[in-house]
Amino acid sequence: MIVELGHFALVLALALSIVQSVVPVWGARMRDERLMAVAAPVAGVQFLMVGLAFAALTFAYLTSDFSVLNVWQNSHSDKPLIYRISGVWGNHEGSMLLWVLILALFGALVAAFGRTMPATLKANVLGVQGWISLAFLSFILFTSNPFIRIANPPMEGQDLNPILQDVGLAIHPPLLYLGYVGFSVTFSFAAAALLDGRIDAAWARWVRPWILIAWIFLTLGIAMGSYWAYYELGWGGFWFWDPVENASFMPWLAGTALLHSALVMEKRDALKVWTVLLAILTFSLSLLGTFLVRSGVLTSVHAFATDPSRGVFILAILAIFIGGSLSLYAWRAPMLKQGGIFAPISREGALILNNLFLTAACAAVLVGTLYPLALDVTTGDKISVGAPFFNMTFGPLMIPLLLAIPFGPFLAWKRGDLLGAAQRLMVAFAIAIVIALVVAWVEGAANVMAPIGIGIAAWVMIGAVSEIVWRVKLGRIPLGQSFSRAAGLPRSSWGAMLGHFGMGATMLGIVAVTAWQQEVITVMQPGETRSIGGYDLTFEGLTPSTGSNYREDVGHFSLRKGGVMLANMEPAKRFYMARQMPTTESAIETFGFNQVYVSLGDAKDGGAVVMRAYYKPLVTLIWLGAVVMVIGGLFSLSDRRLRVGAPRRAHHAAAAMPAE
Amino acid sequence: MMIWFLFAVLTVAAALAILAPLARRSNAAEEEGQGRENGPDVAIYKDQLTEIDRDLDRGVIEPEDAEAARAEISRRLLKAARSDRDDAATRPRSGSGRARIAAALAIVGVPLVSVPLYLALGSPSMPDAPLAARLMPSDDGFHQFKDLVAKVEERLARNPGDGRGWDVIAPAYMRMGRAGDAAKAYANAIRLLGENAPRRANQGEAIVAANDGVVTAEAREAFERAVKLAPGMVKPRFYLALGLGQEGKKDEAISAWQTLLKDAQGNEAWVPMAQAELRELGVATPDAAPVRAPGVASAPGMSAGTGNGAGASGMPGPSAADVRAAGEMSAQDRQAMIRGMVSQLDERLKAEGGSVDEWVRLVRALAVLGERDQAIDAVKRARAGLAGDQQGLTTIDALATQLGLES
Repeated sequence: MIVELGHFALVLALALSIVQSVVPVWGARMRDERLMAVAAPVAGVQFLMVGLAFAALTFAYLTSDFSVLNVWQNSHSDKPLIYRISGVWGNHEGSMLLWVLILALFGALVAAFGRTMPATLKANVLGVQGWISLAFLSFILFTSNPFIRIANPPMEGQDLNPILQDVGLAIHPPLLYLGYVGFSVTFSFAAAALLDGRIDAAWARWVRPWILIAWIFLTLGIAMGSYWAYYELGWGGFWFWDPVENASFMPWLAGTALLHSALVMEKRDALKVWTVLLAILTFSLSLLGTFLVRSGVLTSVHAFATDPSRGVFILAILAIFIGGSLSLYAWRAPMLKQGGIFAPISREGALILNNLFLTAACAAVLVGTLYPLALDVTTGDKISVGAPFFNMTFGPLMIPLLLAIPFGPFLAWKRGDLLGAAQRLMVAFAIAIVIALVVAWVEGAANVMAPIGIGIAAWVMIGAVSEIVWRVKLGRIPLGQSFSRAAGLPRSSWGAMLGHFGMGATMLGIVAVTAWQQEVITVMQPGETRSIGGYDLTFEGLTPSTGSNYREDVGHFSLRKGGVMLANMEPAKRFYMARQMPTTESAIETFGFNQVYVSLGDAKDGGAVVMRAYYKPLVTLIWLGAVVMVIGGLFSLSDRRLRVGAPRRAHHAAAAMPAE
Repeated sequence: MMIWFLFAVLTVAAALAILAPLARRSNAAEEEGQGRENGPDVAIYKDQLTEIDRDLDRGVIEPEDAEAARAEISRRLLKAARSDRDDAATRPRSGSGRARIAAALAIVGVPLVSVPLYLALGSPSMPDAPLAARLMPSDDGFHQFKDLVAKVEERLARNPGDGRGWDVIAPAYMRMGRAGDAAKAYANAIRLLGENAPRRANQGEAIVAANDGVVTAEAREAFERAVKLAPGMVKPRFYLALGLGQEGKKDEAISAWQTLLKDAQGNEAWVPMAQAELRELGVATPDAAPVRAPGVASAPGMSAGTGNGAGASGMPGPSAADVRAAGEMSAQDRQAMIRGMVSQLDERLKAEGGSVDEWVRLVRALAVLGERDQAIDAVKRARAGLAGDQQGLTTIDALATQLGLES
């Protein structure tokens, strides 16, 4: 009964989304307060309905209710609790339900926190959210229904794809979806502004927290996915330029550009038309990502759905939303009034430069992702566009962008002083050059790129710090005053510093691993020792063992440095019985920012084993940098500017959830 | 009944979400709007003005630019205040006609969309079936059974030469729906303990189950061995007949089914299925058997095929039949089955050649499946295979023209 209740709630959510797409927009058109007021409670109840459906499906997974086709296909009674829960979204149908749940959540959040927004804007935003809900709820109910039942339920399920039975999977998709779907709100804001024909600096301020939230989650989601691929796929690679990864990276690039251009719009009332376009493009790229992954167009570890009817449906959604919003844009954008003027060398100019490079980089990734698909469709030739293409296109675009990052925050609004900024950055520049020279001297002429890359990373990091140092006049005024100045800096300044610093840290990690990673692939007999990166790895032996739904061979390695025992490393090869699939479980030891990584290959006769070991210097910086960026985003989000009008909200705290 | 009551509660909640704001006094909303002296954008611009002072202090903006920016924001502020006033002046009254239409939408529209849609998609009469509740207390056996399987597996991992172990675990795998494992286990048992008719027949059955119900060449071989060892045994003959039908050898299949039915008492579980197969081949059978269990996997001896029916052991594995019952899968499975049959026919014709009719069947099937290139290839091979048979060549040429397969 609970399962059917969830199914009915999902159908009701569809009915509500129809109401939400029509009534508020009509109300905004007619300027009818009562019709517009319908939007908020409907969005709230719609969230409750989708939440109920999601809870019902989770319940079916928890109780191993194999009368639900989706549960039978993706679960197993032996599966540990956490993977029974994560199994809910570890498959096509369930993950689409999660997608819609998050969409409804954002709708409800806009309804709850949008009390200070003009009524027509809010009604239009929620109306556009309603269109998106309607499209995806129809997609779920008509092509990917998770509530289909089996008349004679089998006694055992087919188990979740073992590669997905991992803590990483439990967290990665929800984070990524929060990011993808978060950009639906900015899309709705853009479409609402176009519908209304009114857009101003205030608009940018209302939309900015949503951009930040979506960007934060997308950053976390991508970093998480990258780390997951790193330890689960057994290659020790952190980024593969796989189409599925690109699908999440493109909205990130566009979203980062949007984050910066919205800043200009909010401060200076400029770049309006461009910002609206970016908001549309960012969500379009999110939709494209959903299409690429969910339609089964790609075949990779992520594409666990293959059904052409679904692909066509999502393609239709894609065409309607992207085509529709761009047409609306072409029609209405010329009517938007342009705002403030500024000199080319200014904060605004720097942010435009940032936007140009980010969108060009995004276009490069888009071409690299879609070209092989287009070629496959038109000529049937299968080609794969790999790292070399992206290194040739994406890399050169990133270098000037990274070089320019420290300058931006030093430039004033309207009219900046490039020379002054350069002087203030002299120290950072000098340190970066010294670091690059030291690296070059240690490295010799063999590797030219390493010192350049490390130098750029250092430049970005130190440049970010030196902005704050300059702002608080550290060393130029007494220390105490500097501290009070630091406390007085807006949080968004700290956010920008942390964001840029994190970018530099990620870059440092990538360069270090690329330049200095060591790799050993060899057959080892028990008792043998290999050394890697100054560590000695001894193979002690291989023992079989049994988990709840898999068998595994665990390799035992001891890791020593200078004879001192540091750790036992136990990589494993697992075999999942229900799906008849093997997986590798790598063992990773972290020392500072460096890691030693061991994964097992096939067992040989006589207890020997093929093993792959890596020494990865500074590798964790890649993900820690992303975490720092996220912290920066959180700082910006907590900035008081974004809480303008908040006092009103305090009075309504009790009524914040319209659904009650 | 309970579930319909809950559906009604949900529907009412949904309708209320629409009705509540509509039912507010029509000017309540306006009052709220006018309660604020100015719109929210005015507050933001005021805040931006104070922000300029802070920016100036931090040196983010030059003094003369700050002045200009102040003027700029003040202009925006005035404009926003003016447009807010205009808004207030032109704010139209909530038309009660529109509210009525929206209210009607809530009361009639929401149930009108959701109930029929749910009835088309859902299964309201189906209760939940959590696994724990389905295991009867006596069915502790289910867990014991799993433990037992795990123990035997462990023993076999240590000692793969234990033929009896393979013999024991093979049917267990079959029950758990691990047909591929079962086939391997039977093969091991045969290798270690020697072959006998039941082992061969069960091996074949496992292979068929692992191949989505297609009697593959490997399975056929196993069944043929079984028949050689025990000519009277039903199971291998049943599957061989099925295989003949799948290969498109219609006449041979009919005679195989008829021979099989001749030996039947009449009350065996497989008889209705055999009769259904015969009917499908176009032969009238004595009595119209009751509902035919769907799918070829519903063969005798396969507990899975009979679902949760009386004869089942209480722990059938997921079978092809169950999946088909789910509706969605059937088209896919049928496709897979057809492909299996076609590729078998293809292989046979490749190896030993065949009659004009068989070539025609192959070409047609490939064309229907959309494998144009393969179909063209098949036409070529047919021409080569039928060289000398003038009438046959004419037939093939006509077919190629008809299907547009001229390469």
